[in-house]
Amino acid sequence: MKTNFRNISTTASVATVTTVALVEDQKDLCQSWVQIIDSFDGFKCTCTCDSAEKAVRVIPEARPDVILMDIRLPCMSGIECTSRLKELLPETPIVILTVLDDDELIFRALEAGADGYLLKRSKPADLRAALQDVLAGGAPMSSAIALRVVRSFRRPPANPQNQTHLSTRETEVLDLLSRGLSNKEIADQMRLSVETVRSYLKTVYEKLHVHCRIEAVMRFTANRPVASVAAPKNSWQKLPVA
Amino acid sequence: MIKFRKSVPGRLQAPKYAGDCGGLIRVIALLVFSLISVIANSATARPERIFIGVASNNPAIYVAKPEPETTNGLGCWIWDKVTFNKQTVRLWHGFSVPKANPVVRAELRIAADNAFKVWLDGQELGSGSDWRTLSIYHLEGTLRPGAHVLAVEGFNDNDQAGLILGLRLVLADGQVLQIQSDRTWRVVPNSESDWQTVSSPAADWPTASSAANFGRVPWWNIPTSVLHIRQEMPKPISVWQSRTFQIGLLVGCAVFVLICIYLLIQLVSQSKAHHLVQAERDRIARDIHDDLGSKLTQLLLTGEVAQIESEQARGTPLAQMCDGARDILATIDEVVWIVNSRHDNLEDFVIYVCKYTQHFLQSSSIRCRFNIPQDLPASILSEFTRRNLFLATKEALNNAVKHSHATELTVDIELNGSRLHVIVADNGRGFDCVQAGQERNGLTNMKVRMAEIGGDCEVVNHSGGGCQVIFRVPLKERSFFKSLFQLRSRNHSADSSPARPKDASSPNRKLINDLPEVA
Repeated sequence: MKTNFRNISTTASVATVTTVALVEDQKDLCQSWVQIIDSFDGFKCTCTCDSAEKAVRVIPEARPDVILMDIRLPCMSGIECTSRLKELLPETPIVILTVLDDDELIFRALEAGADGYLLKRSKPADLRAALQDVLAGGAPMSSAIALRVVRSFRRPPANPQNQTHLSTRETEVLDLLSRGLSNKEIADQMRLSVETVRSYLKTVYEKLHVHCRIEAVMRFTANRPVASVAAPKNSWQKLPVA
Repeated sequence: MIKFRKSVPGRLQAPKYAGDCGGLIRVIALLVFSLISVIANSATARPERIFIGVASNNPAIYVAKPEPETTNGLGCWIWDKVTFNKQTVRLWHGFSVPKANPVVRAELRIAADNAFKVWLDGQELGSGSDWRTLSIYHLEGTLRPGAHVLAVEGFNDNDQAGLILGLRLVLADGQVLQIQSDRTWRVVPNSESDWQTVSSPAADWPTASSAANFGRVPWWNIPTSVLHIRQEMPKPISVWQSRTFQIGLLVGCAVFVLICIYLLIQLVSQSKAHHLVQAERDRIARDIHDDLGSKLTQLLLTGEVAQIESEQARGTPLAQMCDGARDILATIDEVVWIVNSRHDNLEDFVIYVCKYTQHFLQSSSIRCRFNIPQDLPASILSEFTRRNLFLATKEALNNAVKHSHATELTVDIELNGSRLHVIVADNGRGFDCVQAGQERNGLTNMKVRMAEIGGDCEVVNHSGGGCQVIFRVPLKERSFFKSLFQLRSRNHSADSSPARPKDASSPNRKLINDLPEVA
């Protein structure tokens, strides 16, 4: 059965089925993914797309609980597709799938709005864990990604007025992450619960999207006259005011 | 113009070639003309009239009446062997001023039949066009010790020709040097250029001939007028003013420009080659990713699906195959990272090392910590440096996991001036060089790797336990020329030994050979 409302506290114990949409251009791979996902208890792959263009069209109607997105797709990339889908389905978590562990690419996907990432070579158990984690509001972040995030926020933005700032606590969490500490170790050191650390990371993710989008808008408007903007109008409507 | 020669003013002297003319009328006319002119000269004796205009304008030039001593120091009348009308004769004479005894005052007396132009050390002093007027150049200033050149260009308009000259040099210690026109003067061929400054005469320059001694026929022994000219002595030519130096400088500049152009061409072709190599690297990375990576992933997933579908397949060689595929994919990850030119910078290196370390230590019980400076400079880290440094770091991590029994491992990235320090420290039992040497030769490998990229490697065992492996690499940007020449030499060595088999024991062996070491 398909659920139309995402249950934020979905866990394996809850009887409802979590629907998964998959964007993957290789048929064989796509088939394998579907089989693996369907083999998990409580997960069902309800929608597969072989291109980003199709995904943008089909997925908003399918309203899955979680989206698995290949990063390398023909024509429109998985990163741009993520960005578009986030406009249409801001609440649906997107997990990026990648063949290679290229942290720069992953970081760009996170900037575009992805909520997690997974190497395609990960074990099925890891995939399930990642799906559950992202549905539970998790914000996975390795030290390498944390380093990139810290650097991204330190970079001067195109317009200083619109700069998003990380709070001291968030910066502290990121710093500890980049030093190699696990979420639990950070929680111990900062005398917080693991959940709080996770919520900080979640905020960092959100600020990263905002940061990235403002940057994108700034670049967009700086380079083109407003009249000739060809992108869908609603693309920038939800632009948060910094 | 027809000239009359007189040995003594006032006395008529028949023209030497008068008889050659043949015609009586012509002889009479000449006689009358010469008589008139001589009378006019001796009677009026007012040569001032000629120069009055010049004298009034320029105080440095004045005309005086000739005194008996005016002609002191003059040599004899000299000229080329042959004499003809409209003849130009160049006369050259070199002299030297003794060392440490510079000339403080100099007087040059000169007269020529019919005209002269005189140079000292290539600088023109002046000219004259009347054989009866003696020009005296009072040269002021100092004539430096060493070789000097006196050059005179004489012009004969008609009939007999001669040049008479005397240079009187008063030295600093009061000594007097006399240079006179005599047979030691050399006649410079008219084809010669820059002859006024030539320091030594060519062997084929003939010596001057004496036309007549001073005071002998056909010229007078006293000039009708004396022209005094005050003039600065030619300034000593500085080294950079000398022709040799200037030509040398010009040649040097030309050579420099040529070298620059050559190097620029080299650089352009090399940067082109560099771009090609980079494009090729990126293509390889892409191909590995797209083909190898995707297909292997597919294989892996098929294996996983097979395991899911069949209970029996679990824990069988199929699972091992899947794990093997995962290892290969991890290895491909590393190859792509090394090959891709996008990562040729310090930041990507640091981030990759962190990622790798975290990943590598995940399966062990060792906690990892990183100390990374807040501001990493945007330094370029070449593929070569990046790869060697990374593989050396990997070796250190491997050693720590295998032998140290540590519980915590720290990777410190430090920037010490222009050097990058990568420090892998653990709290284990220390690094046993002997044992390590026996086991895997890891330390030697690390040292050779670091030496190849101009860095070094140090292993420090702490008494309280733990061990530090320090890698130091120069980060300094290489200078333009150095990198150019290094590129060249590298290209050369690559070209000269294309068929040389790779030394398998060298750590610089083929990339792919290194990678199966991945744990």
